[in-house]
Amino acid sequence: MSDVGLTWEDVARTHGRKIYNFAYRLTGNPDDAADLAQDVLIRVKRGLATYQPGSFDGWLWRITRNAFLDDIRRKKRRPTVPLPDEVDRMALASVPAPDHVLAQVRLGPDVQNALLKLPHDFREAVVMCDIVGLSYAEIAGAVGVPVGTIRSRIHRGRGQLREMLS
Amino acid sequence: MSHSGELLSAYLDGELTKAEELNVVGHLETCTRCQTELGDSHEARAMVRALPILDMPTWVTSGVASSPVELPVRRRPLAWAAAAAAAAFVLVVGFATFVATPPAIEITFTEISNTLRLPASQDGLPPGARAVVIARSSDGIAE
Repeated sequence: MSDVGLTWEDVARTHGRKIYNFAYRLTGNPDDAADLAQDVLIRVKRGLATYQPGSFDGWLWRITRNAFLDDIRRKKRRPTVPLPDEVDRMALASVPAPDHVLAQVRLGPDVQNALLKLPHDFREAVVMCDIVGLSYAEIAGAVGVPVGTIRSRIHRGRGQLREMLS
Repeated sequence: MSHSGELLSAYLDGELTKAEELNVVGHLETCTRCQTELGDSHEARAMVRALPILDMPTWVTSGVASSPVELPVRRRPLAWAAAAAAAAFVLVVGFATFVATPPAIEITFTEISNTLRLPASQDGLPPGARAVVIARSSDGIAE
């Protein structure tokens, strides 16, 4: 997509779903994910006024990552107690019919819980790679670390996931 | 023998250089430990990728549409610039006040006595009065 004359509506249409899924897999909570996605799109709306055409994905995912980290900092200052019966409602709500997909979705909450137990740096790298579909170089650009570090985080993150889910 | 380790996920994702890939492939042919590790990485990746992709709630974008776009933040003027502006203001106001104030004018008691219709003595002073200087300014009369 050309990033000349972009509007926030374009970004919402083409990237909104990815931003929301990134946020959901990182937070494990649909409401937090929606708030975060909205925060990202507001930042995009404001930032597009001064955005210089270039690496749009790098710019967008840096904004997304910063919004997530700001959210974590805010919550550390004002901790909240989660509802005791919090479940993966969104995952179950969007289940297509075929049996093999149903089996995968039943595994979904376990995978989500395992993701949430990963150290943040590993979880972020794994989600950016396997949920958002960014390349290692794009992840490195968004996170601000060398590609070798991303390589390591993804591999170690997957190793820990496999261990937790075995 | 050094194992492929973290290169295995990068190999799986097609993120290695050609030379790195050749090394990893060569190593995998004989190393069962790395074969197992590659299998584990592949399984973990498959499980994460199998997570359902969710639709973003529609209220997210309506909230963005109604949010104001902030104007670019202007840099705050430097403190010395503000101080210089304040000093200049004081100078201008002070000078204007000085220029606008008319010179004091002396008025004799005879003039005052005539104005107030008071009896005057031979030397022009009312009985019992002492010599005083009366000055008139633009905003009234001051002693």
